[in-house]
Amino acid sequence: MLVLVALCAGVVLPNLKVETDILALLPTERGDETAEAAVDAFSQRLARKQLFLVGATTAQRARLAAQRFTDVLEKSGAFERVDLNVASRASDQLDLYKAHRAYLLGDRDLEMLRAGNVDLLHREALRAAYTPAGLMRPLSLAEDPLGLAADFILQQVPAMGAAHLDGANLVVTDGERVHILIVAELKGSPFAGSVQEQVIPAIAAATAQARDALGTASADFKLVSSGVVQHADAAARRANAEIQTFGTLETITVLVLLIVVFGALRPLLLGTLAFTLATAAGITLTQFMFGRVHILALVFGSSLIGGVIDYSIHFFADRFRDPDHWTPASAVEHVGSAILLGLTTTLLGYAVLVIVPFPGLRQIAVFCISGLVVGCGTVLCMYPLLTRWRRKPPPFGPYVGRKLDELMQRWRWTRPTIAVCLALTVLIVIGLTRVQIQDDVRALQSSPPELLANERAMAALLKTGVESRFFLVRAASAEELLQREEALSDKLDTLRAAGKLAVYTAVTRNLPSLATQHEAHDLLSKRVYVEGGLLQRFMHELGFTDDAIRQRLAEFARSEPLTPDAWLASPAAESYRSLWLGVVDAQYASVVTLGGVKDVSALQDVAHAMPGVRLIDRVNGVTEVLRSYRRAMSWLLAIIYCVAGCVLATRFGWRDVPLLLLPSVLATGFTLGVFGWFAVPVNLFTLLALWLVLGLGIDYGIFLRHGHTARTTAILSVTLSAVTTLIAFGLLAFSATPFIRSIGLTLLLSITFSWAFVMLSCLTHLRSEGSGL
Amino acid sequence: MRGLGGGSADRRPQTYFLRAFALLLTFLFASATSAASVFDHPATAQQLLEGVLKRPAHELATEPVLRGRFTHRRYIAELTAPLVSTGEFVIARGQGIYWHTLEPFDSEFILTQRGIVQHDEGVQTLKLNAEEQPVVRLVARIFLALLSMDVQSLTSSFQLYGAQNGAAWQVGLRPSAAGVAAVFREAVVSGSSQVDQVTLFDANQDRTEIAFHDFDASHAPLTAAEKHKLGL
Repeated sequence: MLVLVALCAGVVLPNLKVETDILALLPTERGDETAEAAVDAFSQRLARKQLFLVGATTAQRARLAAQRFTDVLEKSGAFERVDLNVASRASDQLDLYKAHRAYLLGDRDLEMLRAGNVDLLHREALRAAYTPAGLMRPLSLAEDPLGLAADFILQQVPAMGAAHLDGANLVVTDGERVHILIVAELKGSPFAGSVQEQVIPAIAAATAQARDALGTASADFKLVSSGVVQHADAAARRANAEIQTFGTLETITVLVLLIVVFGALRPLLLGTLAFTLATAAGITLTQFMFGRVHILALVFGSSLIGGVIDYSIHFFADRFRDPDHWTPASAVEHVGSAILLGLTTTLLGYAVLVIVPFPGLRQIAVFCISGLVVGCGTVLCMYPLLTRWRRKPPPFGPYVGRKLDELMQRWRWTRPTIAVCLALTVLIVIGLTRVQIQDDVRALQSSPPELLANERAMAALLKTGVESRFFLVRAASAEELLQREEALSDKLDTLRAAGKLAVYTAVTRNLPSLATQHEAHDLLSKRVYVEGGLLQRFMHELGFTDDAIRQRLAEFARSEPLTPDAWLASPAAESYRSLWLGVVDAQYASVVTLGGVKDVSALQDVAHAMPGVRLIDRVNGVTEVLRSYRRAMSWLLAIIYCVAGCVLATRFGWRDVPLLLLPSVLATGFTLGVFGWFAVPVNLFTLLALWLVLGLGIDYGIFLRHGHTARTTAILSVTLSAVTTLIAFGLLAFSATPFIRSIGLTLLLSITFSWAFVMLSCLTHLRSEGSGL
Repeated sequence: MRGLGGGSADRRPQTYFLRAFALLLTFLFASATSAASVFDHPATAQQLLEGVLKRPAHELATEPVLRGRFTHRRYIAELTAPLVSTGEFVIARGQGIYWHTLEPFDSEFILTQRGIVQHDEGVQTLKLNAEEQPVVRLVARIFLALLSMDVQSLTSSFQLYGAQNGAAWQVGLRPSAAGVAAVFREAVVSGSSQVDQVTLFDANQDRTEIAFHDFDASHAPLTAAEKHKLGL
């Protein structure tokens, strides 16, 4: 035990990684590990990107504020890169082109040469020489007579929504303000606490200083930002605040309750010991097995309160059976088997979760199983040794138990009560037909309204929605990957022409495959850079000297193909680098991002028809996964009820099984029925909570059945259990995180129902008094 | 016909385009002065509008459409003679430029906020969409502002200079941002009662001179054919 605590405190807690992203709970792409790894790699990069729009009423002020904002962010050291000026990229592209000019061609020029349309190339070159069309070329007429460099570079600058180049900056304007775009990249995962601690204050400081930079016009300033880190930080802050508030309330209430009932501190201290050990075991094992602990596992971990404290309560409440002659050893004899039986059914339920290929559920199951086993072991093995209890227990507990017992004794199943119950059941059945299912992941995870408004403002200004779909391309070699991407690009060009897609961005726009590069080189050397070729004819026509022509031919001969390694090392790759995933699980992978998708099924068709290409739709994928797991969980829940019935039958006989199971089943039905009436949507997390109810409800039944010789004690201990669980979970119903609120609300209702139904089913008699159960 | 009525306080980009062109027309009727001296006289947009450009700015505000002929000369360092082309133009303030080269070959060049379209002997040979091509957008914006002398809009990308010699005046522009410097090194717009000539100096030793002449005095609104050509 000491070793466990030491291990937990010394090794696990300092390295504890609490995950708050709901997506981390889910298997994203079932049955395709490589795709999952590649998608994760891309998502992680994307998650590190942070966009800012610094706005003011004049362009001059906006530039001033944006410059100050950028300076402060850069100095903070919290960011890997902070980009305000993008113009330098054009010169990077120019350098790249100059070094590989014999192999790089714009799409249009390549098409023209493929089609043998040298005349058209000639005509365009003439027009560029004689009309304003030639004014926008980055190289002089002598250096780039045919405009091939200009055409290649023109297609490099990826569109950034409505943002346009203004001087060196990307700018968007609305009716009121000029906004300057700043793109920053975090140093680590936005979910890491250490990153949040650096980034969030840096953004706050930069915002304040940028506003100050405007002096008297500071009211002009407006910042719109978008990125994962602010949402992750808000979620972590909220979770921390809730854990603190709820935890404190919970502790105080349970403390007061236990002292009032048992009149001594020792049950409380021992309960705390058992709970601490159980939690330590849960966290330690989970951290060792998964490398991190999800917030949901921690939330369910507090079900250990419902479990371990229950065992403590059963143990100590047993004293009320016979306050004068009670010994800790006799308590183990009396309640031990009931505790073990309850533990078995609960563990069975969790064991099924271990088998389900759902990382989140596995974590919960591992956490709870290890916690419950350790907790139960503590109660049964250590309590008898540590319990010294001389003072007489206060009468309050037995009094409550007795009163409840009397209430039950007096209960009669008369016609009116049966009628009322039937009417209630009908109402519930109607409610069940009105149950709404909610599988959309976006509805389960929420951010503070001001952050969401920020994201909307960003999307409105940049005029791009958040596009969650993208293509993942994979191949055995870099060259094969690039060729597959080019084949995909051809198909996407067709879709664009048909209006089914607005834009896409692919690495091959900047780094063509070697096959394409060699094709370009062959075409150029046969038709353009050859004695009597287009270059020579055209330059002669304009009046260039032979020297100038020889110079161009020499440059062409010196040029080398662009390899992926050389490309990655050049600053020109900057805009595309996040799309190049490199080697993921022994395969080369890259991403083609999309914008303005109008026809998803057309994209699916493209992906299906091409080897190594997959359309990834993360949001819909997650929603789909949530839906299928919700369905699977519903069936599993039914199966678990059957299995638990079999286990219980071996102990109590078949006749009693319905009485033990019905309360949980009815509680489940009633909870869902109430949700139906009050339009509370049902999701996977509702079902997870119902999973808990199964164990707890059966526990209650077992105890009441077992406690037939000491009814008052049994009633008291079950009631106490229910109340502590309600306190622990009921508070979750007030959480600001929708999926945690779902769990809390479900448990609040279903625990109350199970307790009431258990009392009614085990303690009242259906026909006449004395006929037995 | 919105935007053609001239002079309204509409701040949409289309309109500034028109305003720019009107200003350009004004410049066309000025006499050339020495280009070397103008960069000795830095000026703010405000100073230019209240001083050197006071008259042309007024002219500009009243002329929604300008038509005339141009002579386009491109001086290349490695070539002994300039490349010369001539043709006709229509500048519709706030809407676009129609540039029709007639000699040495027939070619149409249409520049609007939406992008660039080219026709060779009536066949469309190039179309660049400003929405998809940020570079095209930048270039379109600068040239629209330059040809129309939209001084306020030019200040975000240029340092401005102004000089006056009797009725003749010059405005000089130097890019303050690297992205623009890639397009040209400096520009001089000169005129007297109207705009006469625009000279663009490339990053190397090349330069382009565009002289405007034979203005159409009618200033009639855009005809249906012209609107069609501009894609309106």
